[in-house]
Amino acid sequence: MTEVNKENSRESKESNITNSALYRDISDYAVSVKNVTKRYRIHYEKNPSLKETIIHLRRTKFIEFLALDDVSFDVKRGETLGIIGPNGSGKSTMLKLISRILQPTRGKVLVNGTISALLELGAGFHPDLTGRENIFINAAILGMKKRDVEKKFSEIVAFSELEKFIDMPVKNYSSGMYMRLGFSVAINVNPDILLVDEVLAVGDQAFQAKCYKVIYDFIKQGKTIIIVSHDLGTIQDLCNRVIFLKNGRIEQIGGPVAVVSSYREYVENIEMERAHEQQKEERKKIFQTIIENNQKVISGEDIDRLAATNLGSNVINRFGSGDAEITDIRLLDSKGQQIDYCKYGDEVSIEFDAVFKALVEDPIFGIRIVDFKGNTVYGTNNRLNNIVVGVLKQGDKIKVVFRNKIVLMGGVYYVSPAVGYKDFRTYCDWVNNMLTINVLKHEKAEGIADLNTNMSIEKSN
Amino acid sequence: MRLGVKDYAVFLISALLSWNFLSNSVSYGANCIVANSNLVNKIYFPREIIPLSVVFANLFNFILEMTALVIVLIFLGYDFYIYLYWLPVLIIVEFFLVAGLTLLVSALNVFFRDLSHLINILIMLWFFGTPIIYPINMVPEKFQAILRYNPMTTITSMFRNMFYNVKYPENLMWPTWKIVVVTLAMVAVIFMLGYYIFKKLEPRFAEEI
Repeated sequence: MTEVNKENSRESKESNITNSALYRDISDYAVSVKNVTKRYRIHYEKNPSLKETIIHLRRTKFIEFLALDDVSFDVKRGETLGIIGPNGSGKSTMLKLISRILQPTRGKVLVNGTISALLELGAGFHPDLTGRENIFINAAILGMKKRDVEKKFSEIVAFSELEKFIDMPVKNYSSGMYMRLGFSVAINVNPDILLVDEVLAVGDQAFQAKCYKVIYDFIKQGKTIIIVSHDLGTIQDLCNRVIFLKNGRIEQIGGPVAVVSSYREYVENIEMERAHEQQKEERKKIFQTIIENNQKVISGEDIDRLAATNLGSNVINRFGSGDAEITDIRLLDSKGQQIDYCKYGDEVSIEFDAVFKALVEDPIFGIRIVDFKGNTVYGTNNRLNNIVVGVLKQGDKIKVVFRNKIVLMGGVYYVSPAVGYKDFRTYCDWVNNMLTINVLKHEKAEGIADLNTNMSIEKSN
Repeated sequence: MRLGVKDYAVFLISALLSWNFLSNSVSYGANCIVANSNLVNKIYFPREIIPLSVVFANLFNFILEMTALVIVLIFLGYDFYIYLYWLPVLIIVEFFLVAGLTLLVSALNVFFRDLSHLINILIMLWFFGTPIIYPINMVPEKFQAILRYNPMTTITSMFRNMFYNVKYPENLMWPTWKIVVVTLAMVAVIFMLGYYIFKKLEPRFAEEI
């Protein structure tokens, strides 16, 4: 409930900004990025040398890497912009271009106001100097006047919580202390535009809370902030606009909820592909051993291993002695109509048919449901349901029905039916991922299972 | 080496200090951008601050050394104050020469890392081509003309006039107007070239380091 409210307020904030920016005056923009392309040369040789150049009469070989490809966007004054994207998508390059550390190969970056870049905390600290001396040097490098540093000195030290160690050389600092001091200096430079690259995760919980408070104060003061982060929660909380970069191009730009969720989807897809690749390999190995050993009967362990390597709907694999054969599997709605998708709360049945080719005593009929990653979501059989079948002979046709209520979250699930022997270890027939169930998404929660939460918030003091 | 030079120590030091200012700045300055790669990669600031800080640090050393030299000269009874009014002019001219060279080599060294070795050799050659450890009249006449167009010849000999030759006025050698003009022109060209090349290459520093 609270989440929904937060989203609404953020979206309305955004529409306010678009309304107010009817006239397009450049001074409205803190940063304006116009058709920026950045191409890196990556040299094969480590250090360029004059000797090599003279010998080869040219610079050494290099390959070109397109870090940013014709990117354009504007950041308005007082806006908090988030940049997300997979590794190598050009996020940090973008920040370096805005902070003028790098120059674009083509295009322009216009900046209105002073910039402080938190690209790496404590960059430029000299290990032999004390914390006090480094504060002055670092602040000077970041563009602060000596008088201002003197005025703010105690504030900087208090923020970093390093009062006891401030006259100690920073080479004796722990990495946490080092980062805290760097952060304290950088945020006290008091710029118009703050660039933050994945550096909010500094120090303990209390210090992080302080960092976030500072960032919120910046937002309240109407300063412009550009944040690069993989922490999507932070991005959603802080930003009123988000850019999703992919391979150096803007994939999507817009409100934080929409962009973050489409980035999440993208990451999930990648993960799925990766998982499938891995599973393919794993599956190959299992098959190989089974074929090599000329196994007719496979064990429960193999079934477990195979279930964990499901490949998706269109690849079916089966194992077993062949004493029974599973001929068909169906998903039916409550009226008995065959369906291929369902939604949360639906009453559905999973049915499968089996034909026996030999006499089997007390067979076990079961299903196993896995998600796309191969995690078992649910599994059951007649023994667990206290149904005893008795002896089945050659030619017997059996229909097995599982009536379920779908309490799964949205996503793709696979069903593997099986007919097993009563020893629970060997199988007549087992078909991997014979049926695919698509459960429609509903947006109230995330994960696999729906716990049907009824949420309330109250003050307890 | 019998040079027939009286007070050889003073003779040498009077010119050597100004040479050291140049050679220390240039040879240390060659590596200064690369050595500060952590700053160049992470923070934006005008990059010329790095080589210029090297030059100013060496200039400060140079002034301290001259102060020490002056104290020694007082005890030795040199009238060093007679031509002391030349000092600010000389320092400024040499500063521009040193700054231009340091900017040039610091920028080029980012792209050719072995340049610093070459520079040390070139500086050594230049050292022997400048009358510092020997008086210029020891050099055969025909080479003297060439040596006089070396800007460091003019600068070091002016320092020598100021500190050493005051006691031996027969050695005083004032450069001709032509030499002065050529020296100043060379200093100006070197400074502007160094600054121009530095500015031209500066945007690519962060990627090359």
